[in-house]
Amino acid sequence: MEVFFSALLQVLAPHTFGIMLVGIAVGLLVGILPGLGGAATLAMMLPFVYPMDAISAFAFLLGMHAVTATTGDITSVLFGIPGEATSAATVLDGYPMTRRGEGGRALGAVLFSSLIGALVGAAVLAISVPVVRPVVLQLGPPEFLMLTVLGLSFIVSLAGRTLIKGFIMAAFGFLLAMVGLDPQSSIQRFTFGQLYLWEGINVVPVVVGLFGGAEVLQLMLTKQSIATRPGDERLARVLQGVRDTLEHWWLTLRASAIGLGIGVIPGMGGAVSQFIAYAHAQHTSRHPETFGRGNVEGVIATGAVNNSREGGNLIPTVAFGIPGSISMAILLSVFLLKGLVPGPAMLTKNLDVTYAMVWIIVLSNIIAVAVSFLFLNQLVRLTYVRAMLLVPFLMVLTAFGAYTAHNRFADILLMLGATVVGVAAIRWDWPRAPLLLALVLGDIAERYLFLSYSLYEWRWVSRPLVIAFAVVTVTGLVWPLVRARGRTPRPVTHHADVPITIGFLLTAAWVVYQAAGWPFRTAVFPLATGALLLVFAIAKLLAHVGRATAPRGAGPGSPRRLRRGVEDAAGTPLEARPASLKGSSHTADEPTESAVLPDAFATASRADWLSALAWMSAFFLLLWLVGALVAVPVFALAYLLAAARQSVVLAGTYALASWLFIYGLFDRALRVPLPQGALFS
Amino acid sequence: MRVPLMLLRLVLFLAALAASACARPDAGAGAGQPPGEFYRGRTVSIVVGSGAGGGFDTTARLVARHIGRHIPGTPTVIVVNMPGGGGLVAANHVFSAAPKDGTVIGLFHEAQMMNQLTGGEGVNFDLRQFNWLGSSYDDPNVCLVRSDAPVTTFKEMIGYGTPIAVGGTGPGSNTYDAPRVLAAATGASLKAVSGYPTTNDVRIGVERGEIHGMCLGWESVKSASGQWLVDGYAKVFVQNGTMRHRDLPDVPLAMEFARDEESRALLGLVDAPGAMAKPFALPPGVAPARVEALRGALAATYRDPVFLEEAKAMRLEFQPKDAAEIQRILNHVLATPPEVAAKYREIIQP
Repeated sequence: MEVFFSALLQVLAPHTFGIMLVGIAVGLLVGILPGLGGAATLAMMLPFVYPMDAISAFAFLLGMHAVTATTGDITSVLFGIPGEATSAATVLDGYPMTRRGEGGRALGAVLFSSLIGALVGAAVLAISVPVVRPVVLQLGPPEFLMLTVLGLSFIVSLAGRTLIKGFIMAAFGFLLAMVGLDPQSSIQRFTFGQLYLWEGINVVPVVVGLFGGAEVLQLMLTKQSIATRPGDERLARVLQGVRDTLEHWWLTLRASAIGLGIGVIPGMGGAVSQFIAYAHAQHTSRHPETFGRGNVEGVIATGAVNNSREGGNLIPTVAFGIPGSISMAILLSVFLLKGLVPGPAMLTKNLDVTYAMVWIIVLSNIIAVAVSFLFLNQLVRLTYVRAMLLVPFLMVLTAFGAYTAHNRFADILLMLGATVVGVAAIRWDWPRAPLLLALVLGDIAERYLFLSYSLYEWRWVSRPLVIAFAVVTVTGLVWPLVRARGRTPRPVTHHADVPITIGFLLTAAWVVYQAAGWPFRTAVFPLATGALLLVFAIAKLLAHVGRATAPRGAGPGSPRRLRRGVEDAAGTPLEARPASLKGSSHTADEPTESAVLPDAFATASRADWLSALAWMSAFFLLLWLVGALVAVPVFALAYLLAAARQSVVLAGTYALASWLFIYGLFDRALRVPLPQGALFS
Repeated sequence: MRVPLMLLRLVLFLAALAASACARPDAGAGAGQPPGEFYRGRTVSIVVGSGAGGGFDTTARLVARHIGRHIPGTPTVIVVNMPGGGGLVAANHVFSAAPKDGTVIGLFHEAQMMNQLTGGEGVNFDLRQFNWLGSSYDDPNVCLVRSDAPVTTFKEMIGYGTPIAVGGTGPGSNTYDAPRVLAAATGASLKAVSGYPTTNDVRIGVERGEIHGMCLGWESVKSASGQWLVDGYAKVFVQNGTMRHRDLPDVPLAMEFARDEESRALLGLVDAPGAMAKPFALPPGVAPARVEALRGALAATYRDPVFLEEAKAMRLEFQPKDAAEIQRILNHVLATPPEVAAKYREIIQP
């Protein structure tokens, strides 16, 4: 105990504390800026810790690292563009809240739940380091596999009322996860001879396109501000978010536990835990149908899980010297640099360093959240700016965000491909979350199934923890059915579903045809997934044939259509019905107004579409041809003058500033790799 | 109008901020220009064939921090990560796409020589044509086993009933290929289990006890699993190479147990990349004066006491080889008879 508090004093020593503040400042900046991942920043900042003592070094790097997760959530909530792959699920409900004019509340909730998550993570780190070793060693590949299966079972709740569409998207996501070299045999699958695809589909460009790219296009079409209605800009809304988190304290704790649990397990990856926590929140919510339309519970869960994971990640690093993520691998090199041996010695000889790390996580998160709260109002105000002014900035955000994956232009192409999927998914009500969950889990599921089999053959099935996880999974699947008692919501369908489903059908047939020629182990997962996709697609088509009802979703140019299954079976807009019929009980977190979010994809005219698509293609074509340094300012100037009809002064200043920003800050000061331009190389 | 004004102010502020960071000298890059003049004010990038945080990245960043001082004109040196295909993407990029003016240095996996030898897909380079600057380590592949495994010496493993399971990432990585070749060439009862995401996951698999050990470069063993050896938790039971590594005088060479001449050749192939671990290269076609300037700079970096002190703190022990030695290794390996190369490829197939 004495050590615990003396460690606090060591962290609070003016010199160390000052270094930590610098680290936090860098972390805040990096979290908001696109193009710099948390791990890359740590690697870049590593040289600065050479002259420092161990605790100062951790204060600097850990302080920086702890806050990137927090600020990554901010762009997710405000612009729908995740700062990191691990902030993707925050978009799902955070961004709809912003569009509803509740950006302040969403930010309040995500920041405060992040703080709670971080505190829980740090607390568990402090008490668990002594006992964690035997526990973690109980969990091997078979248990990882079962955790993955548990995660996949959440697809059912993520799919919501569009169950069959959710399954189709999940199967598609699973197939995307199969792209690349098969981990067992290094045989290429679905790579089309492209070296880029050998490593598989990176989740970062997909996330950025599926959410961010689609939202930018939507903004270009609406020509309004992000927030579609005047919200309450006062700090009160932020406090409302804090209150929401406190009200849902049990959810916050459970999400934190999920982050911790998955963080402790090396080899599960960061993006997984956020989706599992999100799905869990939806699974256990009293209003699962409002998820994806701005339910604050979804925001709270994703905020909490992110920051508790950091504490979890540190546990195997400290206790075994085995890092659970790239960032932790870099931190581990600091251990070596400072002559510390991870493992049992961290509990005896170097206990003060371990506890100092706990304090650093606690303090840096408190400071980061406090600083963020100071700027919240300014940030939220951005969402009331005419969206066209933000478009060049957001376009850069998506391009650079995707480019972090491999620093190759193919990342941007992948992101654009994901944007197309994202737009179609929004327009015709295909849920995006199951696709992403399957993409992040597909690779691990296959890997650990074969690894379990290689190690134990089928004996792994009888391991006690495997059976326990299986029971939990089955219970989770059955429980909602019992609870719903036959209340099955009517699925939302569109005419466009038929060609889309046929597209999936053809994809599935092609996949099965391709995979049939591979060796057994390479083929079995793609074959099974392809077959499932085939079955789902046929089922969906049969449902259409069987229904053959009156048209529901009309094409563009039809009278203003409302978004996302807002009409009930009778075709009456929900809000037109008496309040008593809307639902049995309203709570603070049920987004009653969510239904009226305008869907620009449905309402925009053909001319709007043409113009938006032309501008978007122009930007990315320019980026490819002449690189970021030229493309960004030229696009900003042209777009603001011609499309947004701003004054020459404003457009010129914007363009100049964007150039200085990219050249000075990214290229010179931070040395972020940027697209160079095909013409110049 | 308040908001556009606010934006304008923000934009002006950022402009002022960024302006201070801008200053680039004129580009005038004749190949005949003295290197000192050419490199002054420029940025040299080290393109690394793996992501941030791994062994290649660590080495690249350590060298990048110091080599600038030794290059005439003291350019800024940065690291660019280009992961993919175990260094294949970076090697292809440096070979053909990257500028040939001496501002791009490649650091990609030496194991690509096996890829080139066995006619691997996607190889669009000839390693012999790179302008090699020097390699970083002498990193023989070794195998270690937990001390509580049923057998712990290589001699006992030969022909032993139950196989000793060693974990690896997958074909193409020495964690998987080396034990396959060892088993085939000596009859040792080693079972290579593939599918672990990274070598760190293999390490924790050893701790969990689902596998008995693993095979990987000696440098990685020292820096990441050194404590196992100190505590007697695990031991190195065999090493590859033609002579015993100076750190491992008591560990037998696999070569000593080779069944026949072909087996010896196969074991020689397994060992070859480790002899020139983490090599730096310029693309073909760079002006000779700049190649020489950078070769000199790398050699000077490896002798730099400040550099060596940092390396020591990170438990990295550099044992560089120069361009001529690298060229000799490559010529030797790539002249392997096709039937031996074919046999090698067959063995590493799962």
